[in-house]
Amino acid sequence: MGIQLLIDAYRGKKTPKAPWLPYAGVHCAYLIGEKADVYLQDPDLIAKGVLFAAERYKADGIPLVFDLNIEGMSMGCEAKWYPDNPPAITGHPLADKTLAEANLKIPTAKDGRWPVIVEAGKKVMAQKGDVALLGLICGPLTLASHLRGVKIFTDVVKNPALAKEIMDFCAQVCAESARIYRDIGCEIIAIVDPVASQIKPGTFAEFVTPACQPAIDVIHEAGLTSSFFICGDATKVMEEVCKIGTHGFAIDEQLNMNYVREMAIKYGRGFGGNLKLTLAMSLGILSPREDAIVSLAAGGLTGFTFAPG
Amino acid sequence: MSDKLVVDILTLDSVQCAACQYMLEAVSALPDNVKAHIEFKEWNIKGPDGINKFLELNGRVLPTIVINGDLVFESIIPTFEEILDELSARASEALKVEIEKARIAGS
Repeated sequence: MGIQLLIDAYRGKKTPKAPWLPYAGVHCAYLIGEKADVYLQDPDLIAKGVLFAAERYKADGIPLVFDLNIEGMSMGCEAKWYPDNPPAITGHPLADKTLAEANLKIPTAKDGRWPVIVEAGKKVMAQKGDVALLGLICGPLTLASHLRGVKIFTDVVKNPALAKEIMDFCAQVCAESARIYRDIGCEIIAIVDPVASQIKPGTFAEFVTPACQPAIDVIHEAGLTSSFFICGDATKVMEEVCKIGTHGFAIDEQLNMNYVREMAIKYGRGFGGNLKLTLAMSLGILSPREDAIVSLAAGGLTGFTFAPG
Repeated sequence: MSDKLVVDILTLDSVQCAACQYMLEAVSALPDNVKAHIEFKEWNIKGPDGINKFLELNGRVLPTIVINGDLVFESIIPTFEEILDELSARASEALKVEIEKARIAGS
């Protein structure tokens, strides 16, 4: 029931109940008593943590990993590992070099961190049962930020040709990531682009939407389910998110759930997220239980996935 | 009292959140001659200091760049020119000179 329930919701359909999708991420490491940096570099630990979290939380689906640095690090970006967080990119190879000068290559399943992720994914697929496995791709603008640094936000205004060249490259990287998650067997593949909430709608339409299309094509040609995850206050770009071409989208705690639900229904998209990750789940300022009740009531049973924001 | 501009960056956590990472970098990557005239600090909302600062500044969304108490960039990562403009609007004469040098040199 879990897999089909989640797929139906992700595709905007009515469901008998809202599926539950914890974005467990490196919390899986915590659950099995491991440090995040050790966990993310060991396929056996990743598989153990994901399977444990899925069972512990009675999940309908779970991401294999929630780490937006895999692609960048697999292309040689400098990064720092943390014991309680995913790693963070610290060096930007395109900050002062062109793509050609930096000689960046699209990472395949054999490159960089991918072999660990692929091996972990296959182990999870072999044992997970009726729980959907999600592959999460680093979205094109977030990846472009990793490669170019904060200059990419000036480039999209002052040097759009350079920004387009970098985004086109990132689009091909995203498509390759989609192929990797497809080949692992993930039922749902999402493009996760938190930085895309930090730009104007016109910039989103000009740069982010086209850069997502190659990955979306890979997902849909395989008959799989797609989503677009965005973080932050994405209110200004919600219309663009709905039009990007994925089956659904996910948002964070800063958006108004009623507005998001109406937008999703208008465009026939699945939607999820919005549990108060910081205010309730992390800080306890709000009651997590009451927040969950509010979220379930606001989300309804058409295309809604119960998930953290 | 220092005549430096005070720039507060309200975040979820720049390590954990890419949007916060690049909002912070919009300030931290400014040229050194400009940074010499500002005091900037990240306040992440995962701890009591960050929560108190968020409330003190009447923050509304994360991430936000606050300059001298003004919520200037709320969930929008500024271009190099945009952040220089906002700094310049609040700058001492000495900082204005440095900002113009930075503009000429480019990002």
